[in-house]
Amino acid sequence: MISRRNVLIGAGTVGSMALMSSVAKAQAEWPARPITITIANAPGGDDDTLSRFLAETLTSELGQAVVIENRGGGSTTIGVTAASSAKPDGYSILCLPTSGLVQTVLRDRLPYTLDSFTPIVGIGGYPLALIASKKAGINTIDDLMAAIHSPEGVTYATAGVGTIAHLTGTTFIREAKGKGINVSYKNNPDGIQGVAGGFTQMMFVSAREGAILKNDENVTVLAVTSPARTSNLPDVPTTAELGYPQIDGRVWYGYLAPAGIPADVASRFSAAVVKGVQTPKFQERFGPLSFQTDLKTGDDFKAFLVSEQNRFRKIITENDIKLNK
Amino acid sequence: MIDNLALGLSVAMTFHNLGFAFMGCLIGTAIGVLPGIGPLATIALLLPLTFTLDPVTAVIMLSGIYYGAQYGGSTSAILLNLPGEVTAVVTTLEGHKMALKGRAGAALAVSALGSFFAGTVATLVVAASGPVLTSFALSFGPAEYFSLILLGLIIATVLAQGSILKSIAMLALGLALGLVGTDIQSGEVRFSLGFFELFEGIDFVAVAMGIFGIAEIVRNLENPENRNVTISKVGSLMLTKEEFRRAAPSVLRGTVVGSVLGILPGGGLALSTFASYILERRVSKYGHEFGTGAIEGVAGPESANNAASQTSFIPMLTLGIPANAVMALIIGGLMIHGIQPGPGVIQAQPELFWGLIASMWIGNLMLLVINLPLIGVWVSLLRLPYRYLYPTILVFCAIGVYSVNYSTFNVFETVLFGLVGYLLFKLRCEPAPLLIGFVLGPMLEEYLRRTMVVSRGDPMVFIERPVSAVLLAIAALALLTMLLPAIRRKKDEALEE
Amino acid sequence: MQQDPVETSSGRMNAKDIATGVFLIAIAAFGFFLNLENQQGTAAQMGPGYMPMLIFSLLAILGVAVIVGGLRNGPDPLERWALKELVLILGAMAAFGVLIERLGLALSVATVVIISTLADRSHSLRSVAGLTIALVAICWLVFILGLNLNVSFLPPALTEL
Repeated sequence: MISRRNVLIGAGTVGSMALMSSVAKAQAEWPARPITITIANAPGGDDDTLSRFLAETLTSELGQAVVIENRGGGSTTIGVTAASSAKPDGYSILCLPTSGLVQTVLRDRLPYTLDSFTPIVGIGGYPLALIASKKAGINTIDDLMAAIHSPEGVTYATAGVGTIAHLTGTTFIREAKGKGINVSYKNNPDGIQGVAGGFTQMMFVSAREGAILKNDENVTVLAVTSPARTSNLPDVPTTAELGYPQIDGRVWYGYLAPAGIPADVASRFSAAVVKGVQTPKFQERFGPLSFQTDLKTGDDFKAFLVSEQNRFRKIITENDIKLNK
Repeated sequence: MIDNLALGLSVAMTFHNLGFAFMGCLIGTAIGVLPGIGPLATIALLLPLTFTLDPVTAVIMLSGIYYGAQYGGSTSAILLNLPGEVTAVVTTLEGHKMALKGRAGAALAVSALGSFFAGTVATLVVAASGPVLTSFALSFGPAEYFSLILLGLIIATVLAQGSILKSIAMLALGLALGLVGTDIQSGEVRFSLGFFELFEGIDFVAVAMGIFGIAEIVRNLENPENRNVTISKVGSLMLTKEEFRRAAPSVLRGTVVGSVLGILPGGGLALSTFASYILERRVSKYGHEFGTGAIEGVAGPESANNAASQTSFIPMLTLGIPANAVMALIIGGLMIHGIQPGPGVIQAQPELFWGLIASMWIGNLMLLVINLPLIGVWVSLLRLPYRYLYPTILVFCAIGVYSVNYSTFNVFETVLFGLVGYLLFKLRCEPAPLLIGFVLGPMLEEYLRRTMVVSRGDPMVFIERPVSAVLLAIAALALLTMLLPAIRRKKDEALEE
Repeated sequence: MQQDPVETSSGRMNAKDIATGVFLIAIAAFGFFLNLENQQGTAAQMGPGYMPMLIFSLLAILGVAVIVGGLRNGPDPLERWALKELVLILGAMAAFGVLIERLGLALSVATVVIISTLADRSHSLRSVAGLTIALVAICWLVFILGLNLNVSFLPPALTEL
């Protein structure tokens, strides 16, 4: 396995050396043509919305159109595979969501690793919110704890095995020293419906989704996972306040390029993204939805990705989460 | 309610909003007609443009695209036997047969008029009882969904034109194809043969385009007489009095079926057209004409589809829970405008809520205005000699299938299913039950497994919950009435020998 | 409707039904084989292999039933396949898949049109040329200009120079 990967990387190096001259030429006048950002999910997700919004600023900053391309499917692996095999010339950029990174830990037969990419910039993301079903009789955190410690355990909804909500849910129940059963749904809205109907007892959703439910008569929002309370849920305590400081659940988004992208191209792209995120326009749109800006560039971002990978690996092995392929 | 509707109309009727509603419906119709290119991708593309618009205007335009696309999908189903969306599969059954009989104009007209009527009624339903209906939708748990889908599958065998046994076999083949991909509960990938592209299952558009579109082209090329029929008779564009009389009750029934099922977020929209088709076939005096181009089989499902598209807004508006991916996208767009759809939105943003409702009706009116004159244009497409038409269909299929995920894998999938479709035709097997099994099968498993997890392994929930029990009883009854005549016939045959 | 009144129970074989049954059983067998790697679990705690096991069993049973029925309800011989048309149409589609990312939309569409028109003898060189040009133009108008699809119209190699 490893040797074959090395061969592949070796072949890639030879290939990119052959490309070197044209890359060097491209670099001088980059960007000379439109830049494509690949989204590894179907349209409409947070990665898609954020990138499309940023694309406007990027287009004016870089003087070239920035095009969003959705390559969904395969739990992000299809889009990421496509992006990993693109030319490292600065015209193909990948938007990596958290779940895309989890896949590199969860599955061991992927045609790429984190080393196939040069991390450019991470922009931050949304903390999670813990919701519970009033319809199933859970109104307070104490009710929830009672359910978690009951002999049959609590049922928690997720959008599938290996999602951040799943990893956070297992960790939370483990920290609370109780028992839980994962109920997988196709996506978050289906899961929320299950909680609102009283069929599933609790769920971790993004704080953006959680805020929609704050006045719901069937659902209660019990906690947020950020270090501080969020602007859109000011009355909801953090998990740390409730005594679970280890819970560190959040979804984040970042931009990566195929490994070997010229350093100055990467830094120009990174600077444009940073500028785009810092515009009042961006902050006014996404701030109120509890988007938490956390800009990390270059090596900082890479170190962050590696530490996240290690964190996911620990949760996955501790809780014996396994997939055949 | 009258006051509220008046407020809504005053919002929606501004020149500005009318213009955007018109634009949305026009774009929606256009992309709906093209196979594979769905409202999801289009709305995502246009979302950034709406950031600069007023939120009410943005939603009015985006929802115009949504129901425009629902409507446009039936146009290609009727004319070319190309179901680009799940809901259009049923429309091919009678709609395309009508087109072959020279009644394409009537099929398109009844679809437009039926949709408009259903849309109008469903809009009133949303306005009058949205919040009440929400609690009905919420009380539908996994057990109820399972029973409903099982019922749908059992009565879907009525779709059979030929042998019942073979059509059940096709349904089972569809169920088998639906197994491919990630198992929702365990997260494990099944039957993917190592392809990442199959993690989320076989693509619906690839199956539908292959089995219907591609196989149909080969069949038509094989029998030159077939295609000449299409060209020679185009017939009058409007409905005859007789057709109108026959279609009216079907439109009414379809509206009721669609309005009720549309509220259920987990597959109600897909079920609504099947359910209405089956109902028409059972209830209509002309049931024996089904399969040869019965107008009831277009009028009912088309009305149901449109009614369901309207009422599927209910869970989104009152709970903030989107019924499908398009709704999720619209919610995303609203949130960027600082509006949180959900329980409070009716009180907090009355002009948004009622404006949207009024615009739904206006959108339906626009669709009628756009589509009635277009019928002539669409039908004249059929006058195009088939030797020009089929390469055009092929090109649009290829691009449509590719654009779903920008994946050449999907194109090759379509090639494979084109081969399967042709094989099934040669073996005289009906493809429609296969598609229905393919769509409903994964839902059946999902809800069955979820019921068992939530009930912690106790199968009694299916009969302890009243709604589920009633649905299961109807399913058992349907199965019996279907099997009994067959058994009796067998007996008679045995006696004769 | 098309039943032949004389033939009902004369015991002749329906080759179409028998072939259908064989096809269904073959799919079921392949499915069972692939399903070996999935855990079945129990009815109360179903694993990923439980539902496939049920569905493939159903498929196999139906396959047998269709064959048994087919032994008596014929005759209905297999039909000849229009191989030339089939290969050309499927080939045109497959060619699109091979070419679209390498040569761009214009040339791929042209290839689809040219291959597929070979399936209809009434086409002349002129009509094929006209149709090709017309469809390439329509596709540019609809997909590039109208829908702004993310594909390059001309061969990507040209634009990257």
